[in-house]
Amino acid sequence: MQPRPATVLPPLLPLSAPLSAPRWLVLFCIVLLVVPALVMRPTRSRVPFDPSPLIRLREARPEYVFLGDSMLDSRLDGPYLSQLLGGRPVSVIAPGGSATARWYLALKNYVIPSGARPRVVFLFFRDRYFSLPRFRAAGRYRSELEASMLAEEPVVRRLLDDPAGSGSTLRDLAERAYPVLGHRGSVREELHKLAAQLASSHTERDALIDRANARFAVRHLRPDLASELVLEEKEQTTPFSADPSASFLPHILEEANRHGLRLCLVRVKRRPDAGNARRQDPDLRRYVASLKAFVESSDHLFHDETDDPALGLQMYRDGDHLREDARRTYTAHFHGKLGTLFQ
Amino acid sequence: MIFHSLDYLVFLAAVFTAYWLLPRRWQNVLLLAVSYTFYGYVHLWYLVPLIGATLLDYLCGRGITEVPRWRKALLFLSVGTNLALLGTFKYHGFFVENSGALLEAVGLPSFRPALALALPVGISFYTFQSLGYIFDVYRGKVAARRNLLDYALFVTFFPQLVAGPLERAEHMLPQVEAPRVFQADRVATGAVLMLWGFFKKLVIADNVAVISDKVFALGQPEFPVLWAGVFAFSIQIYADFSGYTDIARGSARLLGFDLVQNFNHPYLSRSPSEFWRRWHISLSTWFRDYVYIPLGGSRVPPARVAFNTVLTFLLSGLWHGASWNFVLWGLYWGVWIILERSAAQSPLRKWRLPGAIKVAGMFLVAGFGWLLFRERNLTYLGNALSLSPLGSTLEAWQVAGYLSLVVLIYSLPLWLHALHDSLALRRTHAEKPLRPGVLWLVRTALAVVLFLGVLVLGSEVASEFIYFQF
Repeated sequence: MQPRPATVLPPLLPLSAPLSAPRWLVLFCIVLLVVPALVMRPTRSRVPFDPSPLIRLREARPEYVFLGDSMLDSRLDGPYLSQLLGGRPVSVIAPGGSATARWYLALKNYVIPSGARPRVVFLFFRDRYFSLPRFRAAGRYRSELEASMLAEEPVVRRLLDDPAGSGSTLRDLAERAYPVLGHRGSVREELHKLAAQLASSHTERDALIDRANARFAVRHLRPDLASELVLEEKEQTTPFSADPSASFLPHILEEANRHGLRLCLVRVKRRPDAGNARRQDPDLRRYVASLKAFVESSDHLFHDETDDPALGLQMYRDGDHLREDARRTYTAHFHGKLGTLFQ
Repeated sequence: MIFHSLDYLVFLAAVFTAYWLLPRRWQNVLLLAVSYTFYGYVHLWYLVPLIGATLLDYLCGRGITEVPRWRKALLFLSVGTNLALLGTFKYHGFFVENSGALLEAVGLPSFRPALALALPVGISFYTFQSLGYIFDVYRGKVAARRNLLDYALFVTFFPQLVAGPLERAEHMLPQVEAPRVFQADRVATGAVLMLWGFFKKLVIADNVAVISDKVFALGQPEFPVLWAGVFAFSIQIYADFSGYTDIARGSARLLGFDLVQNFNHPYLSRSPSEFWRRWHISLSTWFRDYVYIPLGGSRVPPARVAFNTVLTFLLSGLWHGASWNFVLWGLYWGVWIILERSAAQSPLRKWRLPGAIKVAGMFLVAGFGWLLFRERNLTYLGNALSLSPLGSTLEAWQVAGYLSLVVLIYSLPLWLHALHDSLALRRTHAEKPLRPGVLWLVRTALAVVLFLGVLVLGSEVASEFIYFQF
């Protein structure tokens, strides 16, 4: 009996013979699409939960809690408000560069478990933040977000990580496929630092960047352009949607309702023009009206500062941030405006 | 639809797939349909002047050939209508505003009707392309086309519809009419060309645009800061426009078409005329062939040559926009070309400057031109021209140095590309072609690097292509 010849499978790509152009093209496309997707793909395990805000809340037992980003931080002076309230404790959680995903987690994982049961939880936001669930949730923001997450976060997973989520856009899909996109800001920053270092010295680098930025402050711009920049709004016409798969707001309200917390959403006044007014297009007005109606229908409060003439241009530093020396003025004004909530 | 959007990539991928699956006779139908979709994606009414101009020039072209006694009348009809179309949409506001100002200046009651017409993107490109066809048919250089579909595709082909390159009938129409063959090599080189275009637009142009936009927004910039802004704009406009062209050429190549080269490292030019042989080549040759040469070109007395040159450049400046700064910009280049010609006929021609100095000098000449091009407000332009380097603070020089270095870092790939080509490496490659396998590896590596560059360094604030406004 003759031995059976060994079965030799043909190679997937014939290595001995040169590849034909169409096969090269297929390889070209695969490498082009796959290699960049592997770059900077996070391999580390998730950032562990940071309990320190929870501990601080447990210690402070605040009667009023404020959640927000740098808009809140540049406006509200917590200790001063506490002083105005006759020493009643106030907690401000305002991490710079945070947005709705982080505020949802702060409410759910810090404020509620702390047992503080504040009388009101204020949420400071700008215009359409509640329709941007993925805003500030990728790249460097992701690890900050993870520090506020428990082991299981189904809502966050659904809104941020599920590619089939209704809020998903081509841009979101691209960001998920190519995590390197999330590092754009930091790479740009390094390039600018390199240029500044070459133009001065290592020690002078940051000062030079600051001086360059100061030269382009709004007060140095041509009057017509300055007012245009102030009024410039990225054209967005999407109406407000209370769809729980497209916004963290319904989840925030649900958590508050479930634990008997009263929320007050505060829409901050963005940088006004020289006449201290902030122009709004009709779409934005309609959007805010729908948002307000939705919040109030859930038995929570809504406060819009946009048309408040007392918040003048002189109080603003850069962009929508207030000047350091305007914080107390703002805090006193806020206290006066929403006096009934503080009684 | 804009090239640097994900929408466009999805659109192109769908077109590419359907196109190569279709039989030859349906390919042009598909291309015409998607070209109209591409153009009418934002504003459907943009299609009205486009289709109108296409039909008119198609009929005029046929009439010129088939009814000889009407050929001149039909030429005037076509030219007049195209120019009227441009005039209505592009120059109407400029004309009304300046006529009103003139009447006011002489004490007469002025009229300023508040009629604001939106400018359909690319109108200057497709009217000029269509006009070129009519001139060529009139001169007998090109036969009038009988197939409306082919002609409409020549005018409307989406990769080059909005911002060129301006195609000539003799180059493009045969490609529209001939069958195209799928070639893997061409697809890959098209993809690499597109990626290089995206890199130039999103990484170089949009990142340095942040600097030029900020500098040109300043009320009272100091001398070094202003010129750092001019440097930024010089890089921005080149990277922006040549990036657009590369995306257009790459997209066309994916579909089996070759569009003309529009740029050839203009900042390596050593003279003003060389600059115009390297910058927006399709437009400068259009003006040369259809304006300058019919005016008599260089075969007339010197004074007339000078007049022809200035007029051609003035018209070229006006083509860019209805604004006095574009007129100034055209005049500026016309004067430089005349000076160059005069120098070539004077004892100065014996001066031999090193090439690097000539290149640096031309970069400054072009940069000054970009200041005229970028600054539309004549008051601010006057202020900018009156600035002196002596009155600037040390801090201003430092800030300008920092800004210029940022521009230099982002534009490094542009300079390296120019260096590669100027050191004749390209010729070496042509003489000793790489083995196909090596060539594919090089292509793949280059594509990956460019794609990664776009992902990591692409600006967050993607702006429109500058030439869309023309």
